[in-house]
Amino acid sequence: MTTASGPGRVAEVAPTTVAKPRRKSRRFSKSKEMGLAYLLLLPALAVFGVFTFFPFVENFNLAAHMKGPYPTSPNPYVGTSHFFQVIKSSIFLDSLRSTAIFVAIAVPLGLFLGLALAVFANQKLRGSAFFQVVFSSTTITSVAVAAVVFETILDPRSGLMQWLGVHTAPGIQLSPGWALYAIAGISAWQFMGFSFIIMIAGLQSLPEEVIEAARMDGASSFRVFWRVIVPLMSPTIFFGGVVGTIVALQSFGAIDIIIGNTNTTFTRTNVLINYIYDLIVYDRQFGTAACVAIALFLITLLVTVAQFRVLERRVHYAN
Amino acid sequence: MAQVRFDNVTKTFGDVRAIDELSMTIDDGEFLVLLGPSGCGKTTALRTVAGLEEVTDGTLYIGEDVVNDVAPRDRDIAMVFQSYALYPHLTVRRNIEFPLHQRGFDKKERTRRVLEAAATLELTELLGRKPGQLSGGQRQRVALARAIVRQPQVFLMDEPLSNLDALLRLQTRADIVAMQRRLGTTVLYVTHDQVEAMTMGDRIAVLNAGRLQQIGPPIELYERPVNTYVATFLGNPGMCLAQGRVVAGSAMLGDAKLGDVGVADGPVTIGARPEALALSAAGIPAKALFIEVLGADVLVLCELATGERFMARQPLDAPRPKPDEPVHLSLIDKPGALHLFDVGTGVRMEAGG
Repeated sequence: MTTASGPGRVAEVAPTTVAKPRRKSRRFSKSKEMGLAYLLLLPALAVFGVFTFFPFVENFNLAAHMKGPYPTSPNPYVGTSHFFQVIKSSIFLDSLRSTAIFVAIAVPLGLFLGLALAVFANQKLRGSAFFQVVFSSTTITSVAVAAVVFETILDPRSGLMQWLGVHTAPGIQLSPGWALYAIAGISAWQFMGFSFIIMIAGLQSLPEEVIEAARMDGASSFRVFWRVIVPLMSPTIFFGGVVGTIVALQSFGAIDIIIGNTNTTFTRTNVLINYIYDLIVYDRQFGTAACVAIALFLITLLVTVAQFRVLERRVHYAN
Repeated sequence: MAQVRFDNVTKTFGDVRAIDELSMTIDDGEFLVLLGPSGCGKTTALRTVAGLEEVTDGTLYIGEDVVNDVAPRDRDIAMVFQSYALYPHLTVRRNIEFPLHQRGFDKKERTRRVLEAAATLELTELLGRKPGQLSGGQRQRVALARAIVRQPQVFLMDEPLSNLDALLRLQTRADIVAMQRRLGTTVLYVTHDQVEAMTMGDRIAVLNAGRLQQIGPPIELYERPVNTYVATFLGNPGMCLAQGRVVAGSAMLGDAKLGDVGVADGPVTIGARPEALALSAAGIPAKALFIEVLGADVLVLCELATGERFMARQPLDAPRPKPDEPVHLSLIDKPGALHLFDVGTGVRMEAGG
């Protein structure tokens, strides 16, 4: 009995003596956990803050000041005058038009090419893995390489166009009427790789029996594609459209390499990013450039919201 | 309406022979059930008729036409898939209308037929919904409506009831049979459920490892299975088998004499269905293992001294043994109670053979 009561008493005491520090330690560990959480978040927050949030806010600051030519020059506050300057500028309006045409061609064309190639490569044929690699490769091709390749193809003296018997002087990419379309086509080609990858992933997750049912119900391959595959693929197409539009609104590389800003067609292909670049690099008009950047941000936001509001209603998500 | 005929049809996937020289005829207006375990080739056989799989060898006829190279949409057949395969982006009305639309029926005719099919399957109030808003049973009915709406020559059904709960399955089973009787369309129905096969089919074709085992009316397969495979697969539960001998014209299981049979002396496989066995005071000594009270009757699983097992079906009011209690089994005195099969090949042995 005595031996039994010994541990019993200890056990009775133990909870009270242990409980208090435990409660304390729990509170302590909670704040410790919070600290750890912030610590783990810190690298991401730092990167986001330095490269995204700070420049975003600073951009508004830049837009509202007149920056002098030297770092030591005064930066007088000019309020919204840069904004009105931009809105009234015919270059800005032309640039908006070019950007709209560029996006309206590059994105749907890239989506369609990606989907068409995905349907082709998704067939259970020998060698389809090879084509899957080839078709997706355009997205990992450097824009510089793509630009050089297409410049060669379009070259009026030695390129494919010459070989096809299409004689243009200068090259299509340099003719004022066609330059923008040529560049949009090249960008569509690059976007096609990304589009292909998401489309083939989408196709492979489609319920095969639904497509078989359509074939038995009398639909031709063409109708199976338009009446069944495309509606079932609509979430993927929608996703590709949103991402593609955001990327296309920020296109710059191909235009800068192929057209540059010394060429006579320059004004036709002066998309917004190109315009911003020229304002900064050549005209040293930082405030105006910042305003155009804000305009581009708002346009991207509006277009994306509109896509979600209008297009998503027509998207069918599987249950 | 049309007949479907397999003439030595073989389908291989690489080295695997999914269907092996299948020859059978599904008569015009017949309800034929293809029965077998999963992987036996029954779905592949159905898909060759649908045109979704190409025949490797042999000839497939629908009506008088060889359809080996005919596209699915030109075969005038409709299929109900296990997953129903409804078009998720279309309403019930548009789902049912889809095959009519593809075949160029005018709007008036389409509407008439859709409403008729919807009424038949009690879908009228659901026409505006999408498949995602329907229950499993309702989706199944939409799939059936989509199949009947264009009045095809042949219906193909691939385990259409397997995703329904037990009660609904029972009801839908009866509905499908009634619908087929009324329309008189040829049906090829695939299932692994032998109760479905027994209750629905005009005839059953049992497939195993791509080969046709037996084809005939359900009761014929049940009463005279051609081999041990069909014997054990059909019936709920299936037939039980044990190794015995024929001595001087009598079938013997151990020391117990089961009755005179007209086959030559030697070792045989002895088979008996649960309803052909009764617990009795004398007979084959065994041990009761497990007693299943089903309601109407009781199944007693017994183990013989050799470790082989038999099942006996007892009336509910008969005395029930306890597990591990010694019992005796005897064969009821009725023709056809005892089945004999060749020990080596498993093929049925008939009196006089």
